[in-house]
Amino acid sequence: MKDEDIQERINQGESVPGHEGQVYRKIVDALQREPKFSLPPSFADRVMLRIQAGSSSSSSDLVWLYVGITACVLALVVAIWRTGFTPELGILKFLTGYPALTLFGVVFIAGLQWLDRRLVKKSA
Amino acid sequence: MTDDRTLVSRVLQGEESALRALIRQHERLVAHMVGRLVKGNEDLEEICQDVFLKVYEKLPEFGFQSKLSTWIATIAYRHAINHIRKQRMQFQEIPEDEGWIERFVERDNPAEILSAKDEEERVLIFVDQLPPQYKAVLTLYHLDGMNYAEVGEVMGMPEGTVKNYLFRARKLLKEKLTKYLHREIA
Repeated sequence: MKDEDIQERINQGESVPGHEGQVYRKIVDALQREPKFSLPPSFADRVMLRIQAGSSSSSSDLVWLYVGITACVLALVVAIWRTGFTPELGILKFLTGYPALTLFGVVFIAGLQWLDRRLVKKSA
Repeated sequence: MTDDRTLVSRVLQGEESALRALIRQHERLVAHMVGRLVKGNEDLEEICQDVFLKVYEKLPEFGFQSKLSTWIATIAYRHAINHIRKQRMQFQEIPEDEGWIERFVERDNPAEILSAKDEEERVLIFVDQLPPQYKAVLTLYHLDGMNYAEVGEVMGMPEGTVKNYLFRARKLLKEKLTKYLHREIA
């Protein structure tokens, strides 16, 4: 008898005579055996604890992020006020003479970002 | 047992007891997948916990395109495979060349085999040596009682491939066990 037929009959719960049938029976019995690794009775509680810890830590992370951003903005305002700093474009001043180039740069970078989102990140 | 839709909507409403019930209903399935695929001195329980954290995180996106158990098994399968790859543990794709079947059948593990208490345990040692795709197919079909279509959905492959993998995996195990039994008699 072919392997396909033996496997099919064993799958249907029939007994197959002969050595090959016995070997396949042993294999299927072994495959249906519960593995040694099992989870403890407290498993669900442990997952719940991790979920709760995750949500409380993520909300406290968010609070600290807002505190940090506010502190940075305040420090910037105080520094500008104390030093009388006036912002300048510096080396980027030359771009004011080339508005088309500036526009091209912005569109090019935006286009690359769009392609990255549409093609690269989606397929990853 | 609560039906899947009611259970999921209760979890999404923030009911803790529903989430606990969801975990209890599916922990065996996740343990089977992780326990069979990830080997070595890994903290298997932690990996199973990670699977359920992912399930909880992605539950709002679950649209009942499949059974809840199939969806959870898919997450467990992908997580286990990613874990194997990240840990640089031995990850075998199913080799293309025919020679590997012979190598698989001929490969000896006397110490492991001798430590096995019975023949069923020996078969499970042989199962451990199979590529993870074969192990996953065998586990979902024989241990979790999924049909070909459900196994295919979990592993992202057509039913025909599932049938083929099952047939080839069982045949390999038969050849390996037959060879072992012959050697034992000789």
